[in-house]
Order: sequence, then C-alpha cells, then structure tokens
Amino acid sequence: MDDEQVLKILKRSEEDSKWLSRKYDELQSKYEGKILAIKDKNVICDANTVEELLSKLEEKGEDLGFLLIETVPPKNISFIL
Amino acid sequence: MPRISCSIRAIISRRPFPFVTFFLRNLHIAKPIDALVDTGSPFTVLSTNDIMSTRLPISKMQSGEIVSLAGFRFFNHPIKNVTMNFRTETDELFKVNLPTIGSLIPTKLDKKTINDVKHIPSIVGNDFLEDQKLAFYFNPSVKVAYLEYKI
Repeated sequence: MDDEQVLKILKRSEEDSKWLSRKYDELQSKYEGKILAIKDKNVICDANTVEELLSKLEEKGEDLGFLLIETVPPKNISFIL
Repeated sequence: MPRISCSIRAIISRRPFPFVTFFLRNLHIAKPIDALVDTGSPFTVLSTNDIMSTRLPISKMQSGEIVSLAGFRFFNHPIKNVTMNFRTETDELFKVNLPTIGSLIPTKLDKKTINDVKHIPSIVGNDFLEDQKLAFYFNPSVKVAYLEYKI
C-alpha cells in the first residue's frame, strides 16, 4: 500500500468520523450499546460484540482495512478515563 | 504550521471530546483508527476493541505493564514496529514510526469484562504529543480541535 492509498483511506475515514460526530445523537438513539462499522457515511453493520461484527463483515466481503469501527456507549453510562 | 484536524464528538454526558483519525500499520495490522486525544493520559494506547478488530489473539497478549483505566485493569501490551499515519489539512501524510505502541488487553478475558470495556476508546496521550513535538488546540465551545506541528 503506497502513500497515495493511505491518504485516500485516511480522507474517507476522517469524513466518516466527522459524519459520525455530527449524527451522534441520532445514531446513539438507534445503536445504543452497539459496535458499528462505518463506510462512506453509512453504518454498514452493527453488532453487540467485535466477533459478531467481524463475522457479519466477512459475510458481506468487506475489507477491515478500509472501515472505521466505532462503539456507541449507552446514554446512561458515564466514566472518567 | 501544518495541522491535523480532529472531530468533536459528544460521547459521554453530551460533553465534546476531540478525536483524531490515523491509519495504523505494521506487519499484521492495516486499519484506520479513531482515537481520543487525551492530554491527561500519559500513554498512547490502542483500545481492546481496535485490537480485537485486527483479529490479533488477545489471549496470547496478556503481558506488559499493568495499567488501570476507567475502573478496569489492563496489560499495556506492546505492539512492535508500527507506523501511525495522519493526514494534514493540506492533504499530506504525517508519518510516525514507533518501536512499540501499547494495547489495552484486559487482565480478565471473560465475556462480561470484554463487554464492559468495549466503549473505552483508543487514546493519543501526552507521551505522543511530547515525543512528536505536537501542539494541541481544543476549543469545545465552538467545537474546534486540531494537532499542530512545526516543520
């Protein structure tokens, strides 16, 4: 993978990250407690565990190297890092 | 000075948190990662979820210094020879080669613990900012954050 490809993936991932941030309230209501795979400003897969998510993504033939994996904490959770 | 833009996300208690996206590479890993920029953290670490999503066998990674985070105990397991790639606002790569990066491997690997720690994000800590001579700007009231470096 050359620098151009890395830049392209990064640009898309950043856009997906910003999209998630903008839509966070809406997505949190829908996917509270879940793990999400995001691609091209869409949630392409959700699951309760990473194993479940990976298995679903494999079935869809998705390449993990191009996807942003994010979690959506429940609304009632609060922790100090 | 080149900047690396961050996104702002209200993940907990509707408070804004800064996240930076980077592309992580080594012999076994090639994936984009969203990490919380946390100047209060002495360590830069990959979350349990991000490690598990690379399919690395976490049961064989229970070694390293023990760290406590958000009420959980983890091995800070070193992953060797990684490159962190960031994109600048001028569409260039800012590459950082590291001999190791830490990964958060829970000391207990039962289902409940894995489920409980799944919302703890990867973290870019102040070790990284200092070593790479990065400044961090964060203005939560107007939702602007970026990393900045001198050439």
